[in-house]
Amino acid sequence: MRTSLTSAWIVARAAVRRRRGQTAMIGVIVTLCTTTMLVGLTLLAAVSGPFDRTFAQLRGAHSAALFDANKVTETQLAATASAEGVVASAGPFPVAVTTLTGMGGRSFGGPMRVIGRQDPAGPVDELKLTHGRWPTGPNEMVLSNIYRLGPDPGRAIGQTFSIKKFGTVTVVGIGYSVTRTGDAWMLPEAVRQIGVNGFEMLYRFDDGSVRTADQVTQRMAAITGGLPADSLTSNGSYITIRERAGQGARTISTFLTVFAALSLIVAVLVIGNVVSGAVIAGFRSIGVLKAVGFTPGQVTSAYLLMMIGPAVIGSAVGAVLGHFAVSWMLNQFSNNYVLGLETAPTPWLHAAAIGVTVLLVALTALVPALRAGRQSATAALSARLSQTGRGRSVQRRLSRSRLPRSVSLGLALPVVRPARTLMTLVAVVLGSVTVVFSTGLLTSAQRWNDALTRLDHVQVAVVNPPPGGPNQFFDESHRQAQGTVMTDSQVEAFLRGLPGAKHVTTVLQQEIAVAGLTDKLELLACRGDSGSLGYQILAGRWFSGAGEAVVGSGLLKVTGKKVGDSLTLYLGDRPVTVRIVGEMFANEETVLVDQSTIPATTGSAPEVNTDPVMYQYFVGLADGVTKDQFLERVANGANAGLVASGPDDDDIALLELVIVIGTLTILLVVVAALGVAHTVVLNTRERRRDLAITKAVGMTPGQVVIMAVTSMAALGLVGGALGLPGGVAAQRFVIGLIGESEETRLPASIADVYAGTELGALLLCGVVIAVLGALLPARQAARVSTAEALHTE
Amino acid sequence: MTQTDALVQLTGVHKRYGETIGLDGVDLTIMAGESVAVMGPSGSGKSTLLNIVAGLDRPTSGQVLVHGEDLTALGEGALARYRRRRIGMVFQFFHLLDDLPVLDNVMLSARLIGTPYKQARARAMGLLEELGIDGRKDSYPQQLSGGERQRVGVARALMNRPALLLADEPTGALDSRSGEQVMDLLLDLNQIGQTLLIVTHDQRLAERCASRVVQFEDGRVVQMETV
Repeated sequence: MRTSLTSAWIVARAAVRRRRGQTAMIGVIVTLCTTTMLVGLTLLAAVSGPFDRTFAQLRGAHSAALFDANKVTETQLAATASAEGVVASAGPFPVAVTTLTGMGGRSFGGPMRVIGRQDPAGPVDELKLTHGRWPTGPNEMVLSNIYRLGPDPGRAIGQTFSIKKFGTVTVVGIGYSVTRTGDAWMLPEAVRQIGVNGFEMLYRFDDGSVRTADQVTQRMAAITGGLPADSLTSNGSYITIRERAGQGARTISTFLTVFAALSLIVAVLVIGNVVSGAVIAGFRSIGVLKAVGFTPGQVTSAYLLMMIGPAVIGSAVGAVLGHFAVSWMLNQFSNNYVLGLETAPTPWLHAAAIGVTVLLVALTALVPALRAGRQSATAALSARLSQTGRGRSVQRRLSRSRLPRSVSLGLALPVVRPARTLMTLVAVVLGSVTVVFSTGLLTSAQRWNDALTRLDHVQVAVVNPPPGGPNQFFDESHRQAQGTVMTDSQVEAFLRGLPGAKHVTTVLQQEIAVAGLTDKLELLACRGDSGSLGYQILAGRWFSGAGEAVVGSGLLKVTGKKVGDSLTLYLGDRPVTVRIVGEMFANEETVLVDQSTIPATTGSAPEVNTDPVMYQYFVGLADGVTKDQFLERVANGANAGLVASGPDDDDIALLELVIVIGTLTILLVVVAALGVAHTVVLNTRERRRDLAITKAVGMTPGQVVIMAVTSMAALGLVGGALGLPGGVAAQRFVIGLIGESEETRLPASIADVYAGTELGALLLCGVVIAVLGALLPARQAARVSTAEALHTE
Repeated sequence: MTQTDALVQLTGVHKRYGETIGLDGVDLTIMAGESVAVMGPSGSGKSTLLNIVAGLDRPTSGQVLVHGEDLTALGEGALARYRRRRIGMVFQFFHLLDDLPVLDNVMLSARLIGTPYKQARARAMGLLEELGIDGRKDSYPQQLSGGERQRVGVARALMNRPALLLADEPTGALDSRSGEQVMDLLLDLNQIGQTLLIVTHDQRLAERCASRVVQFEDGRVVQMETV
């Protein structure tokens, strides 16, 4: 037995050494297939219940409560740790609401809630430092990863900001809180120096007792029962966070699952094609092996070892590459979409990817290896590698065509090995599906983003913070120091008077309720050029006066209303009935009305801005005026605490999406192209004699390349034609699911993204994959030594 | 006969395969219309000589002029074009494409240079008629006898009206009757002016078809006699 295996091993090793090119190619393909498989498996694992896993792992807070520092003491809060139902608690942590001012005096990220914590660990809401370290001094800060800090969040480390009445602060780390309990963290004494606005308490309850939002509220009522009235400022329930996280994860998981499935299928197909082809190509050696006394078992073993050796090495390398690739991808998403903290594949996923790949190679090799073992020595010795007799009618027809002979010979090649051709075709089809799908998905994402950000219509947003308004965000003394307070009408007039302002819309944002819905909604009461805000209308029209409303698609869905119906809104306890005249595309359940719809504000915009509300002014700029120019004009011209900002030109989340989808697409296309390349290698080897003959009668190296490339380009064309509807269908299906997940109908501009010319170009992506795969082996085929090949025959 | 009549001129041609010597300073001139048989034991360098003249292999050193063209200076593409235009090759084992019928095999070299189908077909049919196998034009190589296959090979070699016909053991894989037919065919071709370079072990073939016999041994010309 041992001798048998040793002999098989010697033969396999010799074959691997002799066919270095083929072995290397198998190794590379297995490597990339394992990479693809590990990426696919990890993505599938990552998108299944990521929030719950991370919540349990980091002991997330069921309730993150913010208490008014003026109404309750830290001692009183500490005592709530032993309240009924509380399993674990953390805090009280001092909380300061402040703004960071960076270079050039521009604020970073708006008002933020800075929590004072001594360390990131604790019985509740353990903070995970994704980059950097925990503060060791008062002037150091850890930023939450909710801030989109670009593809490399670690670059934020070392940046310095100033905090009013405190001084400078340096970012030393980036932190992740599963329950989003803060925007930034500093040491407690530092937060006290900034100024304590409140205290944060984090509670965990028995899991079974807080399954609904009401149950969380009840638990909190029991806790706050013994505290002074109105001391609880706000309470963040994990249910809300989970829903939001779930929505993000569902959106991402929808298309990641498609990519994962495509990755796995392509990997399996390409491995199957490559391995079986490679074993068949080695058949001629069987006769020699048998002639020198190899048993069928030894021959089978030799052929299996020949494949498994490179497969083991290739899959190990692939697992390492896949580990880094998928870790990087998940890191990108975990910053923005809450996919959980497991941003690296677990060991069992590595084992599964390697195991499945090697098993797949072994199983695929087994059938031809068994055939090899059963082959008689004489039959093997006299065997021809190329399959003759297949597709002769096709060849005959092609030879009579007007096509150049090298092209017609190439077009006939795929019919000779129909099974191999079919597997290669399917790989090309899936590669094409991937390209079409990802192109469409990215276009949809871009248009979705454009539709929501409305950057083509609104380039600058200006806020006039009221003195008695949301003072947790703005420090009154800070505003007074800036100058005189401007009234609403003064601000609007000021903005309209600035050069470059094309449209100015004043928006009063209020929280409203709708009968039958428990969640509060957002009302945007507009004045001015509201029609130029850029909202996309899905049905109906924009409002034209008092009593008309345009609402988000999601709101119509949850209320069962449609355009033309009436809707009663509650502003506090005041009911206002509006008629829905338009349905718009919006992520949030938003209602837009003319300001005259709201009785209290109609014609009575206060001359002195003392309302506890905040007006926002959205400015659309004239052509040729840049956002920065206009911001500068606002800053120079306003003698008050106006806060003007423009969205960043670079949308980091979209960029990350492009990078991740692009990487996945390239990976799949490369694997599909390698499948094509290997098919050309096998075809070339099998038809080495024919190649040598055609070269002997005068086929030039260029014509050989054309012939080999044409053979695959034809497949590519068919693959592209088949992949195109598949990719379009996948994009429509996925974008539809994402729309459902986001609870909105989609405008045609987002759902139907393929234009005529684009479709034409995408039709050719199969050809591009095939040509990319075929080119290198075709050039090698052109270099086949004619004399040597004919002599061997 | 002057040097300008020389169709093939090899000067000091060496060919080495690592430590093995294929050709060792071969000087050989073949005149237009001549029929030269190259003989010698296995490994003497006959096939290497043929491959070098055919542009399928390159000498390690020396000069190879065919029809005034220095093959050593040509790239792969130019060598392929040289093979199309200047030479035809006949092989011991025929080397026909099994998936193509006889007519397509014969037309192949013409089609590769862009000859329109109809024109190539007419030329190929003419050759098949001359060689007496036009009735087998739609047959595939495996359906033919050895002699028929070799005639197809000859027809293919003549398709582009080559100046030089190279034959590598053209009767080596044939029975005696078929061999006789091929010999007659080569003789006829030479008599109508076709230059032949035949590599063979077959003394009868050499005596019957060649006007000159060149003996090779260890990569060198050891004897040359006019028949």
